Amino acid sequence: MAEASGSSASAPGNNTAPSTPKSKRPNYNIIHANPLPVVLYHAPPLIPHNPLSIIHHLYLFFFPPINSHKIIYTGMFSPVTMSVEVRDPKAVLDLWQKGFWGKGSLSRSEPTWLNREMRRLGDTRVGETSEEITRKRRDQRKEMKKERARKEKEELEKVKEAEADKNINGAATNGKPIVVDAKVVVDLEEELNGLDSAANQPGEPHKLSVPLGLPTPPLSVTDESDGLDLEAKTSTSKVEAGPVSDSEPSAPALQPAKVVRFDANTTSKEIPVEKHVNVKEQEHLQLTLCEAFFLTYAVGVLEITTQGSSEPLAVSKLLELFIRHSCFPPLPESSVSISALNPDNAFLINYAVYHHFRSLGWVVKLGVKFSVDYLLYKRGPVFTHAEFGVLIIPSYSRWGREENVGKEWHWLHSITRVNSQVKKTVLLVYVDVPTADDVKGWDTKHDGMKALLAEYRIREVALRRWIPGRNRD
Amino acid sequence: METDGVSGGLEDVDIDLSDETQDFRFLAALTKKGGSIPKRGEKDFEPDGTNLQSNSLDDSRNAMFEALAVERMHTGKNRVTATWHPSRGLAKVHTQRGVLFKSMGRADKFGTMWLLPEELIYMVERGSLECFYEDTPGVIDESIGINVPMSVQAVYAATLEFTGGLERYQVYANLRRSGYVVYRNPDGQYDELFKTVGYEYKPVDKSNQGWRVWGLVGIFGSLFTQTFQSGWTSARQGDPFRPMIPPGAYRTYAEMYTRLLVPRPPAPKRIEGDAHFNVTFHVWKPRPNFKKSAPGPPDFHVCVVSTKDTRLPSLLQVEGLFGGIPETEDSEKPKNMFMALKDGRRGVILAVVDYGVISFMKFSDSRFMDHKLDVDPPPKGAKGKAPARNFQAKGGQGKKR
Repeated sequence: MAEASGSSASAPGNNTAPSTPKSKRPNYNIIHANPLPVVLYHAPPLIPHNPLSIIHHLYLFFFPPINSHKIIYTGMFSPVTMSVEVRDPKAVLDLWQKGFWGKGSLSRSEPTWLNREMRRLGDTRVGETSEEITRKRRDQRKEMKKERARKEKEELEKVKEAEADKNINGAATNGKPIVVDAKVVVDLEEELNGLDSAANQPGEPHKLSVPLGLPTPPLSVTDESDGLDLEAKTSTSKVEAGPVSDSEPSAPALQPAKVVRFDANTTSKEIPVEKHVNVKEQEHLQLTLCEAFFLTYAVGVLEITTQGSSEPLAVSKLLELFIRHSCFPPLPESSVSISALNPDNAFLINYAVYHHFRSLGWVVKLGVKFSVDYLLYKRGPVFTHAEFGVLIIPSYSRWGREENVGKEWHWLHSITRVNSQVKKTVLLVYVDVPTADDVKGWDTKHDGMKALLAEYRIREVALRRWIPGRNRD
Repeated sequence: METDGVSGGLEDVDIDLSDETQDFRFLAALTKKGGSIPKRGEKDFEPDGTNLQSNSLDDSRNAMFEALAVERMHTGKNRVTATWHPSRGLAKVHTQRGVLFKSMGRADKFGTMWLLPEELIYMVERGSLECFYEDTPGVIDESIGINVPMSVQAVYAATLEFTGGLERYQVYANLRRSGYVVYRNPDGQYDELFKTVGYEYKPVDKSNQGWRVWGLVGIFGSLFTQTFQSGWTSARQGDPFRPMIPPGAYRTYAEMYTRLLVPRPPAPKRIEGDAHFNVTFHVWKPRPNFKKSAPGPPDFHVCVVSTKDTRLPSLLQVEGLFGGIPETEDSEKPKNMFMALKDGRRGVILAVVDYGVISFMKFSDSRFMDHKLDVDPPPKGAKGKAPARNFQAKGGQGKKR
């Protein structure tokens, strides 16, 4: 889901934005050096000939400073989106940079809405965003396909011309029906014309990027009084603000190139000065329930509140809440209790798998885009493409339930097909779900949650297509 | 874009040439004198109205017909005959000639060669063997004096039930035609001759003992730690949600990830035979020095399933499948971690037959627990600086709130 942010940064072609310097690939090794939003402890250098230093070190050895959890972030559970919202800008930045947690509510993965918006309004401080690069690449691809179709058409015309010549020359002997040929040509031409005109509508695909049906804040800031504030260091202040804010509010990122070109045209006649735009942040970070629970319970850097209260929830309450909201409509409050837990719950099964791969060092993101449950990234989405797509298969062998009730083969075939197209390996992750008796009394035990998770036995099976013609050596 | 130099999943291994439409003009090279194999062109999926296209289509079609029309001849010298013995479910070969017997059939102690039903069908179908009904005394007309030959249809009708189903034969023939050497899994064979093989095919049982020892240690260990911990941390007893990374001083992230690990007890070993999910064939890659008597361990284990009566295997079925296959040694470990994860220590190839269409899938026993990723940042020295990418952190926006 975050492919673009990784791959796009190195994409060439920066010709449409002459006002900004060529965007260099940021050093992700530094930005994303920390895999967890927790601070490491670095001991001060030991100076052997200084007794004070030795004493200090001895002291630190026996009483190490407890400073790993410097910041505790706050999130709010939103029952409507079934996610946990983080709104503090510092927290959003930290959580994304240190472990790739969550996604921007108005972005594909990294929260970049603010940067995109500022860039759209002509702010000179912001470099090209990954979404723009992706769009540019897609446009290039579309152009390339158009060009290819044109060449094919030309080639076809040439062949036809040659054959028509031949037919005219040898018409007496060769009775080829030219009429049929002509009809086919006309059909083909019409088709190609249709193709061209379809490709000439750049607006179409972008409209899809506007999220539908979710209670998100207004996409564009058109109200100049509070949101948009053009600090006109350029000479033409109001005149310029007019056309910029006039662009349709329903499609904010529709024609960024046009807007940029407009600015470039006007500023090129004058002195190229910096332009600063203040835009109010309208985006927040959305954490999935698994991510939120991992950060709260396992790492311990997140506190989660509910709507209408500022008091953070206890982990046990949080677990209950997430279990209830693992399906839609949510389970009634009375049906879920920590002491009499039903282990066959979507949240618990998903979390067991999520925790399993996170604890092994993988960055786990949702994989709906590729029809799998999770995607596994090595180090993170900005470094590599996801290598594995995880399919969670619950197993009820301990429940004594009937076997052979699994999914149909064609279901698996379609998923492996999709994933081999994007160079991912499908991983079947079998989760042996414990029965209620197996986990009885876990909530009174020390580290009971860990024991509960351990009851979900996990077995990974990697799936690959095997082709006889390619395995003979 | 692979930044770590890691190879992507889709290698040429994954591209199946047989998916492409065949251009039969290459057969012309075989049937006619001269001619060269035409190149693969661009997609021709619709008539473009040119004679060029229709001519090449005609050429291809004609080439196919020509190839099919060629008279196939058998010399009397190479004639191989066999008799089908329904009581034994095997075919007795009278005289063995030809290269095929290097990798087919099995000889008993008297030196008589016997063929499995799928081997028989395969050979009859490709015209390498002529099969006869068994000589039943009294039934055969003495005046004729010879046995009755079987048609291909008759061979199918008489022997298919002994192959274990049409799907199995289809997979067998598919693999044979691709050049592989295919033998049945010796387990559960109906004939003694095919029960014994000259190689180790079952997993060595040392792993089982390992489990037991481990299990004992694990039980004692968990008992010990439980009593120890409950006594030691009486103050915090009964806190099920103790954070896995409590606030403290950590020098590396690996230290924290170790705390995040959930130790899982080894699953009880349950190898249950399953009617559908068991290894059907042992498969060897084609090699010139293959010996039937000493083939060595098979390269692949193939399980044939039909979409008619199976679905995605359950955990028990997968465990049962893997349980019958020995693990590869550590020395054979692939270099790349991703490859190690994808191939696992052992794998089964599932041949899923959907009414004649076979798709092979390799199920590999991945062990993610054995491959922990490096979580600590690479050592210092990385060039470049962190650019100001997000303005909410340092821009004017921060001041406003």
